[in-house]
Amino acid sequence: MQNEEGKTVDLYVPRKCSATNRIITAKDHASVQINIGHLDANGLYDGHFTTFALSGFVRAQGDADSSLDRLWQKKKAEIKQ
Amino acid sequence: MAASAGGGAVRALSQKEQDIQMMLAADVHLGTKNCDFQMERYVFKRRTDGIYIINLGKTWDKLQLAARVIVAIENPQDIIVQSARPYGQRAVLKFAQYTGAHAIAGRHTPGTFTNQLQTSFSEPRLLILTDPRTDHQPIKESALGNIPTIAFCDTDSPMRYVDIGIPANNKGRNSIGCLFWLLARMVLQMRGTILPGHKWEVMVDLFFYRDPEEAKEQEEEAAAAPEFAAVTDYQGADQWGGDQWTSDVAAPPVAPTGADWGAAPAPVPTGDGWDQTVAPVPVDGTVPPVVAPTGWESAAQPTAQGWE
Repeated sequence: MQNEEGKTVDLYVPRKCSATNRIITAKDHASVQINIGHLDANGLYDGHFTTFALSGFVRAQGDADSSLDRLWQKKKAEIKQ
Repeated sequence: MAASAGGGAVRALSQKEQDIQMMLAADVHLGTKNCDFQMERYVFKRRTDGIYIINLGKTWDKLQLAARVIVAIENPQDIIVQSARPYGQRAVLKFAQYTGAHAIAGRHTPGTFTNQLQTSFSEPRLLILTDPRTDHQPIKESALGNIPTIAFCDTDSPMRYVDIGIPANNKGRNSIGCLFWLLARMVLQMRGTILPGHKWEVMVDLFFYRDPEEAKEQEEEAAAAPEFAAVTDYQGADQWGGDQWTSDVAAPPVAPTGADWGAAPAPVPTGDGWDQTVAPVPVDGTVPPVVAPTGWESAAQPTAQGWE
């Protein structure tokens, strides 16, 4: 939340689900955050990764796998992996 | 540049083709007769007998994605590989050995991820399972602890709380071992433990489940050597029989016993003692009292002679 001057006044900014834009609340114990590593031209891990957060609602419905596939395909095309 | 790029593509393609051929040989592509609606994306075709065929190209892509997620975790000990079914136990232990993960082969103790009073309590950053249906308890507990999950899913596996589902046949022993071997090799290649272009010298057979009967047969073959040792023990018994022959040699000491019998001349002095006993008879007149002392004296006298 921002005040009239445009500054953020909240102490805690919750994450958002990468698939459905739902807010991941502090009590959502089923939510996960997955780091997918990047590889260089030789196929070695170079220390960087892409992070995706999924809310518990998506995982409980069984759509986490397809959502992660869709997100990674798009991101993979962007970063030329 | 184009030539080198083509060379790289050829090498990557050839490795992928080899992997897919290995998966075909291990029957990874055979699903079940039922199909979950969330697994329809991975189905290639349905056979006339109703069995769904899994698209192995997508399996390979998901294996690559899973290897990326595994490699992005700094401490491999924070990864738990789990399999409650016997077919996956050896594969899980070998995978943990080569990648540094933590293996739970056997029954999952309820509360391992949620009850911190337990000695086996741990909070992993990643969970790898063999079958979402058999290992449903760790999946439930991962949903209570913000733990991402990777699972090998058959066509009828439930996909709830599974973040990366690798479509594969998770009911064959060769299939499970082959998948874990491929995943371990991909992780090691991405880490740099295996140089690109080099082969991993660990055989895929190490990841396969072995029947207790096979182990028993090998034990019987190993028992052949103890049988030879038993034969040696039997020869030792023969040597002990030789010792008995030595005891036969002890028979000659019986001859000296005969020499002791040669002490018969000693009764001659005993006769002298007898004469003495005859003398008191006419003097006392009591025959019974004399007989008792006679026996006693004769018993004492041979002892003295023996002593001499």
